[in-house]
Amino acid sequence: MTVFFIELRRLAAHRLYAALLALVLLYGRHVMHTRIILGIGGTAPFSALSFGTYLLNLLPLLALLAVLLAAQFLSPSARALRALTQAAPYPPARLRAARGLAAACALLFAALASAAYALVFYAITFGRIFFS
Amino acid sequence: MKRFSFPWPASVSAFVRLFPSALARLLRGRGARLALCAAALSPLFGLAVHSAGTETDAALYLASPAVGGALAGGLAFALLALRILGHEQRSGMEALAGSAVSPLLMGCVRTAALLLLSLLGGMAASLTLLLLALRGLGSLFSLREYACTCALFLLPAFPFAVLAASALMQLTRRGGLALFALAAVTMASYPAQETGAYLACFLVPPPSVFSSALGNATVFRLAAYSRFMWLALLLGAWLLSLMTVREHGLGPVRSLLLHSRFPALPACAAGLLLFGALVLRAQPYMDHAAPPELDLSSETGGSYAFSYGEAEEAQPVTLLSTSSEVTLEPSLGLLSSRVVYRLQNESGEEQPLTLSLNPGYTVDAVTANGVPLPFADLQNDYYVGLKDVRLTLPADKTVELAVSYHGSPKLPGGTGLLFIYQEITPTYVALMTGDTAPSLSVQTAEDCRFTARVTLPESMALVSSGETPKTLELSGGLATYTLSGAGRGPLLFAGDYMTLPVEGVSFPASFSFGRALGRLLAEIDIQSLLRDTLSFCEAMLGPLPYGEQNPLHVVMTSAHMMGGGASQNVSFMGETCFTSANLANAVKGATDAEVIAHELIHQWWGIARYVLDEEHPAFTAEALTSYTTYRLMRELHGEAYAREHYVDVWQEQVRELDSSFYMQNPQYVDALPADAQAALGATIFDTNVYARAPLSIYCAEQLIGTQALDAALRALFEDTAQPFVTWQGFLDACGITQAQLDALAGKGV
Repeated sequence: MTVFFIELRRLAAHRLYAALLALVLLYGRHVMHTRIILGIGGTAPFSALSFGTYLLNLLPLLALLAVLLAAQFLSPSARALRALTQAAPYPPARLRAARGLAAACALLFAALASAAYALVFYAITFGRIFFS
Repeated sequence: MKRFSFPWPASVSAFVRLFPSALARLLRGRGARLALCAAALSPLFGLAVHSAGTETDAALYLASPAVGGALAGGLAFALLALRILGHEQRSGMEALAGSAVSPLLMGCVRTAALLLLSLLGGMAASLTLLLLALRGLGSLFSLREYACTCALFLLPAFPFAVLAASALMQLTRRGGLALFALAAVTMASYPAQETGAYLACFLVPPPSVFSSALGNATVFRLAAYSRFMWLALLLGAWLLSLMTVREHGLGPVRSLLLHSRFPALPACAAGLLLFGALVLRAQPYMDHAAPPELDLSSETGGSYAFSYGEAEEAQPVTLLSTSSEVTLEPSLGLLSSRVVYRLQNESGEEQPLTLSLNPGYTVDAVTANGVPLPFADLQNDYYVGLKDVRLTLPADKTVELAVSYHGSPKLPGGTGLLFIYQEITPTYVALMTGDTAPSLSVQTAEDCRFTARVTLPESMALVSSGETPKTLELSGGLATYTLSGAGRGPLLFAGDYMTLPVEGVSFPASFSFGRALGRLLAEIDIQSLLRDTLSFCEAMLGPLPYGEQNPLHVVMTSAHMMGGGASQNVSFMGETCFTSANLANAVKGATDAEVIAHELIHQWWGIARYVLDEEHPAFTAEALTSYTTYRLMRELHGEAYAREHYVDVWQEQVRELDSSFYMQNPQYVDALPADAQAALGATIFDTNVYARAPLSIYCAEQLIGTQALDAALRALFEDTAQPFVTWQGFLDACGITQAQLDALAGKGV
């Protein structure tokens, strides 16, 4: 568990992650204000269809974020530390699992942050946060 | 501390010394070879995904590979730039390399090597595009069109991608972050391609639909301006990022301050960025009209239909005739004109007048009976494609008002689409009545006539409204024509046109089309469609008042023109309606054959008979024309076909609009940004004018029967005592009431 939190902090408590998250939210705002606000298929902007389309539009960027998060573990500095981490009395498989889970949590947080932005936008603009 | 001074000669010689080895090192790497291969193959990607549409052969085999190639090749070189520029950081050699060569200089050298490589990649992609275009276009291939497409759409994308990626990499020093930011910006600007915001996309400007037969100079002009602006902005951004290259272990801000001691760098960066911003601000191709305001209480959503014949209130000033002299400079896209309006002022007093013309024109002088008149250009660009000039007419009973103006027509900026109706290019000219004789806020006499002298390149064939043009003079490669006819001014098209008569109708009619498409049009027997449409309407409604001196002209216009239109004795529709792929497609055929028929049918509803009802603004010539088009398709293809492609489509459109969120909850409309409101207004307009109104006429047919409706329509067409066909007039002619129609509509008919 400690290892998981350490890896998570390495990924998320980092200026790079903050910058990527900011870019995802900015792009989400752009999508919301240009494509989703009129509603998809004649439905409300806060309908399940519109919200799903909003998330779909964010998917390519979130996929790229996933690749970048995974690439952090393959960076030169991470490779340079491999000799040290391999010497530690910690099963390598569990370490890889902890890292994967940390990357997944970071990605999930970015996705949830984008979804939360949409819900906050719906609440402020339309006074609704549940789909209808 | 010793003051820094940029040792120009030493830096330049160091650059010259380092550049070849940097380039050689780059070329030896696998990444460079992969990027070059990707660039060479990138036009194939564009062809496969139809990145610029398939409406014309030029769109499919020239524009699509160029746009797709620019995107794919640009991405490849952006990735290469990120990889190369982050090499020393990844290998931990930054400090060592920085002590041998200035990081600033090395940044310049590497970017220059990448730029050269990207240009090589661009040339490889251009070669692939040449092969695709030669094979796909065949006889339609034009070396000039190909060269312009390469130079403006394909080639610049590669160095632009390198500059953008280099700037981001130098600023952030994080390859992943730079790639992410580049991807986000490219994806965010992609919808701008659909809306025609030609300055928004840094990688490749939106191409509009390429014309195969009438040239694309207007699109190339827009693209060239966009590329010029982005070159300045990207170079400025790159220079600014170069100043943030880390040196002596300093962070980005302190490195920026350190490098600011070389005054040339911040001066050039600021200068380029400012220049790019000024170029953006001064863009000359689109007007500054705001989108039309949404009005949910209006049937048309706040927009107005292009009604043929405005409802003119009784005015004390009447337009008796006009005389224009129009000179065109196609190579520069310029028009200069002097129009003399003969006016009759019955009031005996001075009268304020408004001259409405395209925002791209500047009024040079106004005189009344030879005396200069002061005027005020309000510069109030408004929808669609107009601005007002105010002046005061003297109290004289007869006034010859001469207006001189010049300029280049601007595209309407508030529509969200690339709405190219007017063009002045070396291969194609399209001018509407408002360009040759701008409208005045006066009433037009019924017998008002125009005369015009138009000077064009001799190589361009002229098709115009009114009587057949007479050639006045041929000299110096220019031809001067005299045009005359009924109305305020001529509408004209000029280009490499071929004109053939349309046989089998009782009045003279001709079809003009781009000569390059002659063989293709013969294969799809376009003459039969034209003949069938004209014969059907003549039988249903009555003949058109055209004769030998004043024949009907059907004109194929450039693919840039969306849809089509009609004015006086000219019906015109875009090139995309005439491709074999579009007309042969049983599903899409309903759209493109309909456009041809629709514009022809406007000769009856809209030109021969005006349709206008201020109490029911959605009832326009479009309603009667769309319904008549449905009847024609029912005649040609059968009841089931017509029902599926017209009635069902109208019903679905009306149902979608009525059940849409903002129509059900108008209280949320204020939350929409202005352009979203305009888009909603456009949807309301399209649905009510093009679907609900013809559906109402269809419902009337269900109530009274086809024969009775045909008799009513014929009576409305022949009743020239009424200036306009109104909705109430239609109901009275059918002998039905609105309540009866509403009851039928409520049953879901």
